[in-house]
Amino acid sequence: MAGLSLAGLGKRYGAHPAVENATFELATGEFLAVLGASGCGKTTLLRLIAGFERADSGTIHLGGTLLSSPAHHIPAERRGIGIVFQNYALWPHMSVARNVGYPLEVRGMGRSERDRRVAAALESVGLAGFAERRPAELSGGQRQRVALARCLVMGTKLVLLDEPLASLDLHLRASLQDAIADLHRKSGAALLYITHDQAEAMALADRVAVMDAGRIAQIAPPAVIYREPATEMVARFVGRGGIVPVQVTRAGEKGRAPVDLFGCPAVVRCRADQPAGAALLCVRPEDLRLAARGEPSFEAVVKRTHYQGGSVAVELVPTARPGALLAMTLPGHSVLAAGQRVALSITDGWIVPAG
Amino acid sequence: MSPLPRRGGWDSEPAVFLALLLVIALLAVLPLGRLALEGVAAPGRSLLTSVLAARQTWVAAEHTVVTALLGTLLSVAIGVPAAVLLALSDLRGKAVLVFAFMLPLLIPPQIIATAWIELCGPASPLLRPLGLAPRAGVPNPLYGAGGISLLLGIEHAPLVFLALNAGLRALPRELIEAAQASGAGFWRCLRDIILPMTGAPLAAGASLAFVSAIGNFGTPALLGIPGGYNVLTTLIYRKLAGFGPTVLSEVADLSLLLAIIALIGLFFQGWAMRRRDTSMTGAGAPLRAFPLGRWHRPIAAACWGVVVLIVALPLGSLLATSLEPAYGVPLSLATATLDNYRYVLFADAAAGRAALNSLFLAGAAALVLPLLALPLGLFIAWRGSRIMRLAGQLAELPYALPGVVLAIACILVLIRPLPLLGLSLYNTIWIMLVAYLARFLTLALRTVTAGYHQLDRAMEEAAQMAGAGFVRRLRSILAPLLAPVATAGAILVFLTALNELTLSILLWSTGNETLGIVVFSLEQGGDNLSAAALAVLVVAATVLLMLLAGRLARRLPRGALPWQV
Repeated sequence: MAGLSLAGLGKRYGAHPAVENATFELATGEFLAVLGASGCGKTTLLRLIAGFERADSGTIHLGGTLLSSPAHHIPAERRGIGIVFQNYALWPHMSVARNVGYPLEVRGMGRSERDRRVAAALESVGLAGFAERRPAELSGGQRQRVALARCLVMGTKLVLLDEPLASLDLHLRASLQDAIADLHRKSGAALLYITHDQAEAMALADRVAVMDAGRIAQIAPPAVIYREPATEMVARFVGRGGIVPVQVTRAGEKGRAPVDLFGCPAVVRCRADQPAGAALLCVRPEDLRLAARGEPSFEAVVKRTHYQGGSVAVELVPTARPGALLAMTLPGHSVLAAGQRVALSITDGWIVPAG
Repeated sequence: MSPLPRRGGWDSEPAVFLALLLVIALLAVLPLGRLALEGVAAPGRSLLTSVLAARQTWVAAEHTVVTALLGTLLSVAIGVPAAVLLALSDLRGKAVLVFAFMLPLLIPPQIIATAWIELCGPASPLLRPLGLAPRAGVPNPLYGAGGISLLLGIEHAPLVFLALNAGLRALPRELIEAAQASGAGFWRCLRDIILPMTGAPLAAGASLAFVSAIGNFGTPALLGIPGGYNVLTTLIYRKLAGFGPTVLSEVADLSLLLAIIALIGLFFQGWAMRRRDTSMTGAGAPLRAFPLGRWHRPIAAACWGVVVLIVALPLGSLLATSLEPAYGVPLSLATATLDNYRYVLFADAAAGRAALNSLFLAGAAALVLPLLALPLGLFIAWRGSRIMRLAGQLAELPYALPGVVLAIACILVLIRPLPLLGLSLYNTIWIMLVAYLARFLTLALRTVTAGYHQLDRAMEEAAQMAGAGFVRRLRSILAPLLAPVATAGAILVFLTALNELTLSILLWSTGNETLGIVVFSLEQGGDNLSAAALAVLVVAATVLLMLLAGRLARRLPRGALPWQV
């Protein structure tokens, strides 16, 4: 059976559309990250699915049941969806065990069965000895795990996570990423993970949905998002690299097309239906290299270098196009200085489909 | 693990919402609306015109406005320096000063007036030993416009203080530091930056002091009635006490006149509050205290001098009077007696009954109102419901308008038997309870709403996702989390209700007297000793409750308790 299914979902605040025409399916057990800058509508999307906001258009189905449509709204408390809040939302007046067991308490489950399930859930997030503690006595990472356990215990089919790592120290994030991956594996639930951190999204998710101004710009596996961004916004938002104007000299064929990049000919990847003409090329750092003598190349000026230990991140401005910016990575021993002119060639690239 | 089914059920949130709207409609809108209707559309009479034509009406209205304006001036004169010193300087002992300074607001006017009458009377236990007391037979110098204005000013100075203090604390610290960096000293800062920027809160506080002054009953009743100096509240009381419900239409018109004067003040207050430049409120960093330096001693001495004058001396003479064996017998260790306490506690049936009635009324209000405020605050603070926000504003009216207005409005609605039930609440204790609930709802609502604004909404949303329905969320999540604010609200309601006089004196019937009424009647009837003893007990209870609520303070949002700023 289908997991979560959104069709034409929309929500506006006054004249401002917060979410527009969101349509996608999330299979049972799948892990989807929703990635976007703040204000892109990702939080509204999560609140629509959770049932805190009413849909203005479109539908939300879970396991074949209609949850939301403009005429129909199942309240959040009857959706049976788990949610991990950004600041965990643990109830300070309850012990860890009661926090975790609350969904079962609400459903009228008996004491002994409840205790058993709570113990199992705490065990599975590595907090077996913490049942009687108060949330205030826990560290940030432990609170996070309690919030995960509270979702686990419900045996829900869908868990929503609202930037769950945003308020944690960098070194804690890795361990909690593991905990979340663990939760995903053990529960078999579908996970919808809201984040503005692309590294997190790429590392955890089966698929990533990139949101821009209320719309889902692209939804695809992380590698596809990175290698074949569907829009200019996705190309700029995800990964480093540059977007530069090119001339497509012949219509694409079998996913490749010849282009003219600042007078330098190259063959790059493209959509099957890429026509000839002006286009935008997405060039990732690994697609660029310093040209060998005699090789077709174009000239660029080094704008800035960042030593990163072992490698150097270099920003370059093509001489033919002073407004554009390219990025590449060179070995740490390379000596390039700002202002230096270099000859570049490209080994690969992706023609961003015209909007 | 398969998902657990949640027991289906009916969503109670809309039902609770409607029930709350109904409660506010019945408590606030119905009585005040009925009163307004009485003024514009009473059938077959032109009483409004006849009341307005009476010279008596205009004399009382003029007295009301004059004493209130003079009182407000005095409140500003006391409240402004107090707020500036306590909010901006490094004066020591601020907590105690604020507490003492708040007492005149929390001790009921009839007790303050009683205390001052004792302080300034010919039998003054404090002035007489110094040879400063007026001669016997001379009317108390406080009787009349001067004394009324003086006490109104003292009683409502805390309102000016509170409003200005809040405004001062909201000042962005950078603006003051920028002035200091430009070379401005304390006085320049105060004159050029601080006071100009806090004009709006000051005006709002002064308006509030004015509205409270025109609604005050205890002060002009004890100081005005003996000399025949009537204000609107006392005129209404005397007419109703003298002629009963037959003059209901007439007093309704008088209370409408009072309400209109109050509304002008409230309108001005609202206007001043809206004029506040909210973009100019501080980010939360507290102002650095201005060092008083070599002025510390004289200023501290002056502050304590004021506290002694407006709090300690009157309360001291109240205490002294309560220990006198007979009125006018000089008090000494040899003559001091607890007989007066013994009398009011055990012998006087009315005092005992009144204590029970007051405890019942205040206790019921303190129990019911926080329970109403809990869901009401949720709809106002978190759901952003416009209807409920409007309802919340309407619920402020019975508190903001003079108590006399609410009392007359309640009589108008409840004098006839209730529909369907066929019984009348008039002349029972229940009409008093209804009026108390209407008047003090907003006290509980304000504290609880402030609590909601400080609580993370995810607390409720997490419970919702866990499957908890509305009532269950209120009970198991929100009520425990808001228990400290709800308790503070309950104590505030209890404290205010225990000291209530204005509503009670117009609504009571034999057997249903309250503490306020008994103190008032004893003092008015000339039994100053018993009045003093009972008043001392009430003051002691008030201070005890303030301290009790103060113990909760650490767990409360800032400003939940008026006397902790």
